[in-house]
Amino acid sequence: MSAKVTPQGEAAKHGPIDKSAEVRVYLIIFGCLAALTLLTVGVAYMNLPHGAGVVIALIIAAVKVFLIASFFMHLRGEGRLINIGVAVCLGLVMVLLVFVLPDIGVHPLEDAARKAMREIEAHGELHYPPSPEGAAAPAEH
Amino acid sequence: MSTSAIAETNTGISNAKLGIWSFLASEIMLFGGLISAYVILRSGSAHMVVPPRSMMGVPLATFNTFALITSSVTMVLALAAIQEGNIPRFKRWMMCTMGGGLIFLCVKAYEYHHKWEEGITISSNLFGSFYYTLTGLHVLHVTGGLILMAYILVAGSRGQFTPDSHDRVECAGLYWHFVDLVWVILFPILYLL
Repeated sequence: MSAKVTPQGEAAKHGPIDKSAEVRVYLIIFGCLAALTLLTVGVAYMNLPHGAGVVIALIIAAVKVFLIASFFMHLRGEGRLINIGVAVCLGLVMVLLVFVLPDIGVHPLEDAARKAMREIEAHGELHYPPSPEGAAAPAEH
Repeated sequence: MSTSAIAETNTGISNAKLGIWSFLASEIMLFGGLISAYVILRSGSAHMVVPPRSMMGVPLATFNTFALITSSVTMVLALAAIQEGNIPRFKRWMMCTMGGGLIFLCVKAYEYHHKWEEGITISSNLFGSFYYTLTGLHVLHVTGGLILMAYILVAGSRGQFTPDSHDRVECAGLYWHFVDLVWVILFPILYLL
């Protein structure tokens, strides 16, 4: 980037500016954030299935984060450099979260492996497919 | 920052703003790492025993959320006031912002005391460790933010900011909104889910 600009040139050129329109937007965003907070609490007490409750609460939190970042932190009006920097950070946080989460999905396999080990210990051999939990053990030869 | 101190930059972004956004990027990674560790252990660890919602003090935490959201909007109104050159209004909104932060800290202190009495301590279980680490780190940020706000209020009262030169107010605001943003995520994952 070779073009040099004065960061606050716009304000320096025009001096004090009327902010009443901006202030109105801030108050509307404040109202939205307050309503979304009440909605989050309301949804938590609605006794929804756990998965649905988690998804709804996280979607509401994401909308609130978007509103604060876009309007209060003025991310919408920032240049590409800052927006890319923030996007990279959020991407890295998602890597931390999403790439480790599949480990939780491995647990059923671990359970199956433990069941198979118990069967080997009990009968000296592995029956495939493993006998269901609670089923009668095969007769010993 | 006097007008003469505003330098031209190759990026078109003032050094102060680039600096605060770099700092916030590191903060995103700090809180992001802790929050993702909490979410993963909460989803997959048998040692994560979550206290019932009645023990978590949801009404107080909701009140605290409102205190922080309100202080965030008063901060942005203080910035708008200094951009209009209205110093008395700037001072009023800055004091409201600090008031919101102080209310948050007082409620948090009461909440910590209450939870400790009920047996939710930093060493009680995995949830307790995460609860105090995440909220404690956030409380440290709020405390740091209040010190920053006090400095900005004093500097503004001495006439150090003008409609053309108010980078420090903008940077302090960005930091304060980030603190609010972190709480918006911590509130549902610690208190409601």
